[in-house]
Amino acid sequence: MLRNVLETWGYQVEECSDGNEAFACLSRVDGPRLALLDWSMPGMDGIQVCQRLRQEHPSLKYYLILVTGRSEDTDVQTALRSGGDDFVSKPWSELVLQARIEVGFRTIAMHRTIDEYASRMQALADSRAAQLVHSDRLALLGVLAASVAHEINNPASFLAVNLQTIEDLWPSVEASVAGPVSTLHKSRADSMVQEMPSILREMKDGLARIRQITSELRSFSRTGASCVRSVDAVQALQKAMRMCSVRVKNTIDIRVDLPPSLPGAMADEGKLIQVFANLIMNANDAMEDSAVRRLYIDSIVSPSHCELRFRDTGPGVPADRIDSLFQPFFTTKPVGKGTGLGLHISRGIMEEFGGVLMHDVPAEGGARFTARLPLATGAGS
Amino acid sequence: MNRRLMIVDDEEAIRDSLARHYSLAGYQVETACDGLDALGKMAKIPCRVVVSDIMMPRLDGIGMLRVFRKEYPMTRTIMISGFVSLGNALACMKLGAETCIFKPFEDLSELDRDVEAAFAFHERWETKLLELRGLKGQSG
Repeated sequence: MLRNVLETWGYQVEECSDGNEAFACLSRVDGPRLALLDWSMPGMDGIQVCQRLRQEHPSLKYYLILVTGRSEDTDVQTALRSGGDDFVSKPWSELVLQARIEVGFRTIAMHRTIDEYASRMQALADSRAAQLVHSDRLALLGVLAASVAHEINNPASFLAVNLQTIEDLWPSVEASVAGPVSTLHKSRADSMVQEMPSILREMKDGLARIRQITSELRSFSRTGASCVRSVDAVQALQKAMRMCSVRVKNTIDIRVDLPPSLPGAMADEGKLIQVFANLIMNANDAMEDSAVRRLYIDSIVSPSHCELRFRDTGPGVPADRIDSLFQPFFTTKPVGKGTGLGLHISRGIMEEFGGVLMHDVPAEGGARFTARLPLATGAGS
Repeated sequence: MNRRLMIVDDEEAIRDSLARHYSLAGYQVETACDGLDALGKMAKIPCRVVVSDIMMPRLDGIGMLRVFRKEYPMTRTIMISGFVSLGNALACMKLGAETCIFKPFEDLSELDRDVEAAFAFHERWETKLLELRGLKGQSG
């Protein structure tokens, strides 16, 4: 009878004869979302159906109306507290029921709109966060431009010098091959023969260095999704050090005490280089006014993790600033130097790998940052 | 006439290739790997012209120029650099460097010309001093 009325109002109706059936029907992904539930049903009563639906499918937006002969205030309270949205006492009026069902569908539609907004806001927040990581990387690239210029310009220079030498001496070589020549030609041709192996070796090394820096630059500036896989942290550190080299080589003394390689750790290499470069540049800036400017880098390996530790001989983080160290836009640097995002973003990157970035105050003084990464072999356990 | 030239660069391949180039061009070439090394070598064998990098460990090109200005005021210094800031370039100018050439060089014509001009400066004065001392013949 109710079915007929509901269909007349234009709704599609599914009927269930007891609580268990109703629960199964409403649990379906494509099941109805608005339900008129009788309070007293065999198996599971209406109240229990409400409770279980709310417990087991908290993300689904239901509108549950309990239909019952009870009408005590306590009954209404029980129904609403167990997850019901509305309560209709028998005998019900068709007019009122129709209005209440309309309220139900309106509420469901509203929930959907809110969910949609929420997921759009979440997507926006995610993409902004990714942009921040990328812009920190671009800012670092600016800092590292010096190293890149150095690593390309120097080899390009000695390549040019060597080309010039070959060009200068070549006519004497040609003349010597053609026939008898003057002593000057002879001695210049001899020089060419003598110097050629060194010239070739230098030119090959120069090309290799240019190739190396451009390929590292490419992997560093690569955007898009992370590629988390087994990475040797020592190699990533060496790349980061090479990128920072020109900026720090005459200002701080980096003492590295690491094995030639570490067990593979789970990370995206480009982002790990970003973290390490941030830590090196931070140490460099922190020690600007220190008498001893040294950065010690060492490692600790446990069965499940490997840690790289960066200890500087700077003034350390002021005690009242330690709590805000990893907050976004926190910086001890003067305006115009440092965005205050480096540590915040670095910690985010480490957490993305399932690792952590920690700060502590070592007994020797200064500041120590520890980057802990899960080992690739232990990652599944 | 002494044509002694010193190349100062912390990059071995640049040092070696420039030394080779200028040796073949007929100069007597000394090399040093940074400012401190250069000062040590200058004390033993003074060079009239120095071609030097700016960014170097221990003592950079600017610190070296500062000492040259006091101790070897006649030495002509040509700076070469792969990453030169305006501040660096101005400091080189104030400290009396001849010029600043940016790496990478396309070819060596600019550096060759400046090296030659720096030696010509010395030769000009050498001639003048000889004239003054009356040691040079009437034909000069």
